[in-house]
Amino acid sequence: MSCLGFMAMNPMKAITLKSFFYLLIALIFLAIPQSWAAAQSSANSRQTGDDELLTELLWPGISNAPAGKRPSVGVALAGGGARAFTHTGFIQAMLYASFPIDYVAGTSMGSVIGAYYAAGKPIDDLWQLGGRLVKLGIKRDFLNIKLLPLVFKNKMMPANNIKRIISEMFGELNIEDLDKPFACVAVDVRTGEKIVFRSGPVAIAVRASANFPGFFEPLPYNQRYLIDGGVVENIPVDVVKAMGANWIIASVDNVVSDSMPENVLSVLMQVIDVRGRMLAEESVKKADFVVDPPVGGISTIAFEKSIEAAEAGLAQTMKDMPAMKRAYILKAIKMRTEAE
Amino acid sequence: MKINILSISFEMALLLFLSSLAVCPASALFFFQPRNKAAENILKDMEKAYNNGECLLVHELYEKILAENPSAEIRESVYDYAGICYEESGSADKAIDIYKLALGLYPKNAFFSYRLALIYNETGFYDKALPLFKIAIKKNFHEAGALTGAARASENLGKLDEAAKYYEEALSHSGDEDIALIKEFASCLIKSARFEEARAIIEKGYAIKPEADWPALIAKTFAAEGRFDDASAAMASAIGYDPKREYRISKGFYDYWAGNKEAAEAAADDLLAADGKDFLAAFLKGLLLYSSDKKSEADKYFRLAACGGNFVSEAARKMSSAELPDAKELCK
Repeated sequence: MSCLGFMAMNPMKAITLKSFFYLLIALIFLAIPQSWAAAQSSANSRQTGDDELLTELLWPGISNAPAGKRPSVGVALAGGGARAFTHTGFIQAMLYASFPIDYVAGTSMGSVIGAYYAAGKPIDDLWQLGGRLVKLGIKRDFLNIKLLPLVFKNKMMPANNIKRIISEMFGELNIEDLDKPFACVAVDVRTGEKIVFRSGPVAIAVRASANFPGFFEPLPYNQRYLIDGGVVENIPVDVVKAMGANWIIASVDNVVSDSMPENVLSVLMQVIDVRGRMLAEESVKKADFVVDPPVGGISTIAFEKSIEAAEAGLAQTMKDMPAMKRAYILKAIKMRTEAE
Repeated sequence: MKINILSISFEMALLLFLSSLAVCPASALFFFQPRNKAAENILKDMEKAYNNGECLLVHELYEKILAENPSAEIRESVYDYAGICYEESGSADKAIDIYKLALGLYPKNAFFSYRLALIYNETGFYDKALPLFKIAIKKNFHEAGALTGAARASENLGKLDEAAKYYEEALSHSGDEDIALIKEFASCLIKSARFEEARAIIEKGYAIKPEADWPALIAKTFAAEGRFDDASAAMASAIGYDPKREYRISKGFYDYWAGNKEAAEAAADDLLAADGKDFLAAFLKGLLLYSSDKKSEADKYFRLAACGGNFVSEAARKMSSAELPDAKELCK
């Protein structure tokens, strides 16, 4: 007996079968978009997986290539006082990823950290550096800033502790003796000229670059009176480009402190921060990649928070690393195809 | 006249006690609360409901028991059951609220730190999770779990050296035989460029349970060091256990970097024969043809690879010598 014949004979069964038929159609209509969506999501996840896999497979070939066979990488380390310790975390993450660093440029505290790294100091020393600076009394120079003597004696403060610390760190070392090509930025306060140190004593260059303006005496050197380079180029992207870098990462800490300035000194520092940030906007546009960790809660002189700043830099750089690798790989491909 | 020292002392003690009652805070009298029989009974029901997996009932009883103003001891257990139940029913936010409240009241209770840390880890708040795991570790609570949690939180915060230390300790607490943990530990060591150590721990895992993942991990360490011949050999061994696509394409790329172009081409061709739309294999094939100066042939494959994921597509477009139309047009 055919199925239809059975339906004709048994109306109840026919209704059941009809309902079943409608249900089947409804299920098919429901199932089609679902299975399409499932197939789509599986395709998407394979594409994401492929993106990650290709990054992982191209990276070792490109990053292990000798300097001339891949884009040279320059890092521009911004100034920012204690916040600049984000660069420690940034450098740590670069080492973890075996990301090549061919050129280092720094401004202000970025120059201190950059020179220390370029000198081939172990990364653990870099992590300890903030604590060491606090122990050696870096903060004392800032805390010694008294407004009345500045106004009445009309005389700048000598940054004695900073001078001693930097001399202890770098001794008689010259920039040209460092493990990696290094440059840092200062300003001649008389002429407003940007002075880029590419050779000569590291201690002088770094001291000049980190010579906080307005309070500390300008550093006399070679007929120039040098102050902090952050006044003209807080993120030395142009400098590292001029050194020969094809691909530039800016490690930035230029979030203006979100804490309320409590005294005249902190207001002035905040004003300098604001100015630095305005300059930074132009510089970051010229960088190929920018790492910008959230360190707004750390004030310029909070050197006791250097580890906190370094950890923020590390976390942010690790988070940015896949995108950073991809951007660099694409640059390497472009460089190769253009050369051929 | 004899002085009764004992009776004076007793009176003084009584006076002292009464005056202390007048000045001490009400909370200090918690000890003197009568046993709350009703709360005890509800707690027993709660325990039973929890053991039977009836979390809805646990939540009902949670409201009920708090209305009974239970003792601090009972309250501690109540937060414990309610928190776990909220976790199990997927209400992480409610579980977080309970554990935070409980931690405020019982700061010495490592269970609450541990559970809260686990939720924070699962929801991506690694910075909040890590200090809580450290509290649990300090109190020797659920050491293997807390150490593993701390390792994962540290790793996600980029603190790879710290993470490696926690993994190592977690592994020794779990008897050194936890395969999944050994793999996590090895991956963390690879991520932090500690390749020798990674290989040593991978060997250990391989000795416990030989399987494809181990040689595949070894291959990654060699590749990261630029030792592509070794990486290819290790990946061949992984393929011997499991010939999955990921391993085959990886071996193809390692061969390409090592200069073994024939082997690389064979891998790309095999994969393309199995799936004509294998974009990664197409990219590899294009790369091989490009490096053999067959640019127009290479373009055919880059054109195909340009329909892959965002990065695969972008890389293929950059490699292609011809200007490729947009994805909609190209991948119809």
